[in-house]
Amino acid sequence: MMPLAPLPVPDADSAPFWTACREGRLTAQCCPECGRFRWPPAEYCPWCHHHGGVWVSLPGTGVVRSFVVVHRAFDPAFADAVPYVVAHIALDGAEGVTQIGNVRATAVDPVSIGQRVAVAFEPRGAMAMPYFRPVDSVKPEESAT
Amino acid sequence: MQAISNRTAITGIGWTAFTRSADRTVLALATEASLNAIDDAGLSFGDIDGVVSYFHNQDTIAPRQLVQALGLEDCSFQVLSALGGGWACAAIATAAMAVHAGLCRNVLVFRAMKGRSERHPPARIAAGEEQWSRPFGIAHAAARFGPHVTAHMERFGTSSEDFAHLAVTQRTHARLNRKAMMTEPITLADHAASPWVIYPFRLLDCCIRSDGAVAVVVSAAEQARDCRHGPVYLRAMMGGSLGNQHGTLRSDGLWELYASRAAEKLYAAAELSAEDVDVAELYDPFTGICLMHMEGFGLAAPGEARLLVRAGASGLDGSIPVNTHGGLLSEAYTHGLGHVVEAVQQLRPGGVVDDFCDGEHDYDRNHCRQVRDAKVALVCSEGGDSSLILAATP
Repeated sequence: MMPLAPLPVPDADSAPFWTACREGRLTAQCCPECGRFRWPPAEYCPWCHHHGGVWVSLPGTGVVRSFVVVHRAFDPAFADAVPYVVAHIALDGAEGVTQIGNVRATAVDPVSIGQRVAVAFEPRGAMAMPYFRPVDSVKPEESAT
Repeated sequence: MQAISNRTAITGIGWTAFTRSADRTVLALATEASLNAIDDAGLSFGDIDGVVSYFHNQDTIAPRQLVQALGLEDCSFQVLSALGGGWACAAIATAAMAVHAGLCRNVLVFRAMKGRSERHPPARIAAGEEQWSRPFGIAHAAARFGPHVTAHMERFGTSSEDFAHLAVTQRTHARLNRKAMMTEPITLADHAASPWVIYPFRLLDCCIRSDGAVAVVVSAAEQARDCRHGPVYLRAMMGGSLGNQHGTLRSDGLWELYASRAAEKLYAAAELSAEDVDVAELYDPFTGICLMHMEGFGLAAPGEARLLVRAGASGLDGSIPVNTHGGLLSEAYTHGLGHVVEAVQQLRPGGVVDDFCDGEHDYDRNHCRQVRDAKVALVCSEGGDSSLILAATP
């Protein structure tokens, strides 16, 4: 039987992120003192060392900064998923934050650097895991005008 | 110069056979490589009073186990670092600092593992920093380092065929190395036909896995002059990192590794420049990462290491020979300590001992892998997180 893919273990720094995922929101942590985003989440701001942070809901869109395509699963839990994309995604609304995420590309719509993506969520055990899908290259705010 | 520059030296090197499946314990492998290194230095086990090692994923023994196995009666200093492949050169630096500070006379550095035959299944939960990687299907270093290389390809036009030239060159070096595991010749076509493992890496872009051990003895320079094969001096050393590049603190491009920041400090400490490097042993978990190390340490301009490699410059008779033993790609997975051993072999008065020369080195590339007139070597560990300048003379 195929093992379940590894479950993230929320800790005091990351729990708000994973809780928000279960609510269908992609979030990042921001410093209330200097206003800069921090990733990965931490109790102290790495820029100004302010203690504490606030969590901000993001639009859930972003751009692929780089990626790999896994053809051989070294974790058997992912054996049926190959080939799959692991990407570094710069998130809209959180300047400087690059999260690692899976991009579900298709043969018609292969992933590339600069590709715009949007988040979706799927259950894994008691958690909800974010993943990304390619979207049109026009930014939502541009298309709205 | 650093206060420690030229004050310590590598006096002994040793290794075991590298195999796919060693029918013995990691402790036995570590003991054999260590005894070989101590003998190579012309020392006895009682001269060793410090032990340093490092690991990744709980795959090793602790220094205290080796102390017991060697029967050391007086050990003043031990370190075991969990920092993995980025720490090989830092392990040497740690040993050197223990010697220079007067804690120890001779420190043994070892790396031993059954990296091929004893692989542990991935855990089903991911805590700490792993919660941001393994749940997304990152279970191999190629997925951690690959994005750097994909970004480099996008920025500079680096191609899979560029990687092939590096893989082929290093294989030709391994063919002149008696301890290398991969000695079948390969061609550019073989590379192109090898399957994707994790794009941008094909099978022939990836390091091999192996069972085995490597050991090095670090001694005070003033006591090292009479060592059996001649000392190789530690001229400069660095060990640091700015952490993962997917964090917000890293504003530089993914197509750069920490190497480019470390290089400036390393060369300044050595009072040398990249042009002074005669031979470079650069961590090569994947072909593309090795190209990035060449660029990070200034052996090529950004984006141009591929041109040097294509022109043959990284070959044994090129302007900057790289990974003259075959590296992690073709010799064995020694987690970077094998790169130190090779640099020492290239710089010592007697030169390389495990090529196929019968007597003097004659630079005939049918049997000799000695680089001509090598006096200064650069060694770097994963990402350039630690690095060394070694020199034949102080």
